Amino acid sequence: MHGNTVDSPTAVGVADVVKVHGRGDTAVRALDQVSLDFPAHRFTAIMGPSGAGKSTLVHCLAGLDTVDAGRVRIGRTDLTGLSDAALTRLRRDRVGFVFQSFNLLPTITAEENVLLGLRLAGRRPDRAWFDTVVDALGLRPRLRHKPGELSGGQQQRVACARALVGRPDVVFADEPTGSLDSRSGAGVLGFLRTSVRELGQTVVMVTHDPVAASYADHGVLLADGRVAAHLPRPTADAVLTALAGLGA
Amino acid sequence: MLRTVVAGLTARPRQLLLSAVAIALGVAFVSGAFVLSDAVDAGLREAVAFETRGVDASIGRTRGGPDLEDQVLADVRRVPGVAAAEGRTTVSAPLRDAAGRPQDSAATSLPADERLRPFDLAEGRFPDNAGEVVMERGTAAGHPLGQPVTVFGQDGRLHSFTLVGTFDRPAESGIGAAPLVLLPEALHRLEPGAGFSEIVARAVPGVGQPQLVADITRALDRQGISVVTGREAAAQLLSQIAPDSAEAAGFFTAFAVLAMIVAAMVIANSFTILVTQRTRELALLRCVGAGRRQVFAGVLAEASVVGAVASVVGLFGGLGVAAALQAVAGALGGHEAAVHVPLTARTVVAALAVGVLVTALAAALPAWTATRVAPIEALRTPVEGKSARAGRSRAVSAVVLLVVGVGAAVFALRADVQDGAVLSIAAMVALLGAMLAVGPLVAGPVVRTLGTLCSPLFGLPAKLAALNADRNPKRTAASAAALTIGLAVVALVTTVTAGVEASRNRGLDQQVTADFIVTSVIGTRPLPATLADTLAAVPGVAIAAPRQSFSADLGAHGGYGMTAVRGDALGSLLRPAVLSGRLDRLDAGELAVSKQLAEETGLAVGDTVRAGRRDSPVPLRVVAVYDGGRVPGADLGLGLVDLGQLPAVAAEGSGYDGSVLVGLVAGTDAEEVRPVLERALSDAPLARLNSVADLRDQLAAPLRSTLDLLWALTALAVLIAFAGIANTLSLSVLERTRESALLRALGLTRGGLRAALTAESVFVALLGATCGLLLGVGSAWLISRVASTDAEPVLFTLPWGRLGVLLGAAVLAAPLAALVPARRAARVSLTAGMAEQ
Ligand SMILES: Nc1ncnc2c1ncn2[C@@H]1O[C@H](COP(=O)(O)OP(=O)(O)OP(=O)(O)O)[C@@H](O)[C@H]1O
Ligand SMILES: [Mg+2]
Repeated sequence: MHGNTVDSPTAVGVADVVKVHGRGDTAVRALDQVSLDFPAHRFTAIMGPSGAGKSTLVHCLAGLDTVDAGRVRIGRTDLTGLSDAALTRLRRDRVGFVFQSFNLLPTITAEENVLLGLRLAGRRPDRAWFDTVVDALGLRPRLRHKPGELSGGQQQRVACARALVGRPDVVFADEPTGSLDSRSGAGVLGFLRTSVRELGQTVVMVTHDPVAASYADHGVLLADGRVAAHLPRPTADAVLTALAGLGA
Repeated sequence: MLRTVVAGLTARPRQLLLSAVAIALGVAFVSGAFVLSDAVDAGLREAVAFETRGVDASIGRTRGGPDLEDQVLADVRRVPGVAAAEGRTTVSAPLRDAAGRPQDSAATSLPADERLRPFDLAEGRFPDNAGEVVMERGTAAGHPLGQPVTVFGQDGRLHSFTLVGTFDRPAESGIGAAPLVLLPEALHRLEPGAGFSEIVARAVPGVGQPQLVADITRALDRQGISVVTGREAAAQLLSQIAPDSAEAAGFFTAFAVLAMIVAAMVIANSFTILVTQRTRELALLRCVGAGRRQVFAGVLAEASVVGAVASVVGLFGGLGVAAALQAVAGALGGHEAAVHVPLTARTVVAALAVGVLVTALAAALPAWTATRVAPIEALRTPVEGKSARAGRSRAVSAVVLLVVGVGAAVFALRADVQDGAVLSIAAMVALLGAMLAVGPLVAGPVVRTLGTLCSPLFGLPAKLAALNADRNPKRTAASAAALTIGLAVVALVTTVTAGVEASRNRGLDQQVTADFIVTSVIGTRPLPATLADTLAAVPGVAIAAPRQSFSADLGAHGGYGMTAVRGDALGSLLRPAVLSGRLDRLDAGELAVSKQLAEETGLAVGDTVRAGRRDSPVPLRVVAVYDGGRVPGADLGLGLVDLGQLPAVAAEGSGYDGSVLVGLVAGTDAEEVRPVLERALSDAPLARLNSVADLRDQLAAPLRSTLDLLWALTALAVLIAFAGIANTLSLSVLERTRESALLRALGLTRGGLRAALTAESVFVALLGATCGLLLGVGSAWLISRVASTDAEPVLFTLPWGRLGVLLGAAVLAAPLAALVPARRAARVSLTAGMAEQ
């Protein structure tokens, strides 16, 4: 399942998804008939101007939020219509998530944070895999520290480790480098790319940053809740041009 | 700055509301306790005013003075300034109930003058003739109007009266008219020789009370009679019962102080959390240029406004609490209680002081800390990281307090009762202080241990709960502490009263082995001589033996109250603790002396006493020294003789309090024999049948109502403590919204999140309740040791049942306290939760 295959089957997909925030006068159509497929074992970047609906999309994809119309699919599972309990199970068994900030429980150590999802699922960690992930992220010397004692970049790397340690079907990351300097950001992005290329993971990342997007295999441009463009093998320049084309 | 204060107030409505609720609850609790304490006093004053209403002069008898007879009343009535005068007297008048069994009661006469009647007609009318009676409304239950009521006279004969009405009167501390009111002639029939205990007079208009008193004093001109004004009479009556009322008021005041402490802790905790949560906001204000003092003053102003508003709400809530408690206590006591809600300056000041000052202080401390650190640092460091870990000074003060507490306890055990009481209170306060000081130090390890112990059963939620409770041990300890104090007091009261109850019952439990005791409702009227034989013939009865108290003439040693009992009752029906000699039976010519008598007279086993009349003394040989307690109907007096000896040693006509002790055949069910015994008593209308269990109830009865009120009050303290836990929990849930959302995003189910919060609440409750129970039981042990004297021993017994109920209730109430916060936490949408700042 995690091996590299030539023709990538779709890991996650949305079809005709509509999501409306709020009601009445203040209602916002955050996603308007969005249809997208994210291939497995690929690193996809979702880009677009602020307010385009990027966060809303990954929230819906990850089962953190429900959609108003359309279908959301992870592997063979249709998320629409799942109960809260089923969604919870799906999140802890098949999805990894890295938020922009506040990824970690402040009360427990970095190691416990990495293993938190597995413990919630009552699953035994695969020690070899855990070591691979931790070493790849350079977290070994920091495992016994509490999040308050870690730098922002280290905290994001712990969050990445947590997202990957359960070998989920797909990892979502919402601006994982948004609050990091370029060097720490490069470390996190490099690891995400490695996890796709070498460890066979599937990653979907939201980002503002054209440089960050250039780490991805594929780019999707959202604007006003719709898919505006696809950018295969995005480079920083290509992204900048595309964004400028949207008037952002 | 004012604008930001207002903005700060409105920015977090939920947190603010929770804190305001905590303040209002605490203040309601304090004001309720103070109002109750004033209400006791107000109730007494009202009862006294009712009893002395219309009275302008009261004529009484000084010690050794002549009886107040009809002649005195007639003389008073002839005094020119007197509009009306009435003689007051109360006689014992046992009632016969529907089943034909006698009940204790008393009767007084109906004053002819309407304005000198200390009762108000409720239904029907007052008696017109000597064949009619009115009853107090509560007593009249079960006696329909127009039907005959049967009353025993002092001679034991039955008198029948028609019930024509009922009346109301306050009944505080035994003040107030007797439950039966008859015309004077009828009262005379019940007890022919009774004089008046008091004559009350009303003045004609225009004559003042001092003038009337002077006129009456001059007109009576007799030795041994005192005349006072109505106001003085009321003051005297009040001072007679004042010691009791002062005790009650003192108790309520002590309770109010307890209320203040618990309330202060709950308020302080809640407001501390509120301001700590805003540390970053305050830092931001400082970053944009607000001065340290400005920020501090702003927080203080905000806290004072919230405190003041919530205090006013709480103050009036307290009036409601006090009224409700009085009504509930009345309902428990089975009567309609008068409800008083006096609002005194003391109450208002105490309530506002607690509400406003404690709130301001609770806000000032964290605000002060927040303004001390460099603003940029406060912005950067997560609030969590600074969660105050307990320091060394805390440990030192805990140890010092512990040493002081233990020391005071050790000295209290050696000191006499007076000093011992003071020392033991000091010990309790010091130990409580030690517990509060050590709380934050042990809270962490304790909840971690609890979490570890519970996690095999409840899994991750227990672990998460322990982590959360351990996150800020100071806060956890503070919310547990309110419960600790409340439960310590409840446990203390419960254990001490159980000890007092056990001590009272000790006489009964140790010396009485009879199953039933038959007594006479009129102590001076003996039971029929054949009653013991009649009862002995009832199937199931093994032995029935008469016993009687009397004044014995012990010759050279003087006169003593003693008991005569059929010799074979000893060992089978009565089994007092024998200190020396033997007491398996008592024969003619033998005497057993109590420990007290042995000490007073120096009599010992083997000595002979010459008792009875001087001309023909009876030699009595001392065969035993025993120790016995007081039990109604089975009292052992200072000495014991065989019943056959009674005529020879008793002073003429001195027999009283006769009873028959009944023992059943082993294995017989007492409740089955009871109706048969009741039937056998039909020829003895004055006889009252009591099982040993009935007697135990009667002995406990005077304590029971106090205990009920105590429980109600302390239960309130515990309730407030739980409101505090719920409050702290709600605030921490709000504080942890993002964290909860993160956990849910990572796969914690709604149920799991609820379980974690519930477990957290249970851990805090367990911590607080265990400490409270330990402290309360320990203090009770100390008090029972210190207060125990030879005359009135106080046993130390652990009321396991009640203590178990307390602990169980605390642990069960904890999930209830967590209910609302847990539901709210589980309901928050994930994306909204993550977006929360
Ligand atoms: N809870 C909400 N209630 C109302 N409107 C919302 C809510 N969440 C998002 N929106 C609106 O939905 C639209 C899409 O929001 P979303 O957060 O998905 O944008 P985004 O592309 O992630 O933007 P950014 O790059 O700034 O994070 C925006 O217009 C936003 O205002
Ligand atoms: Mg976003």
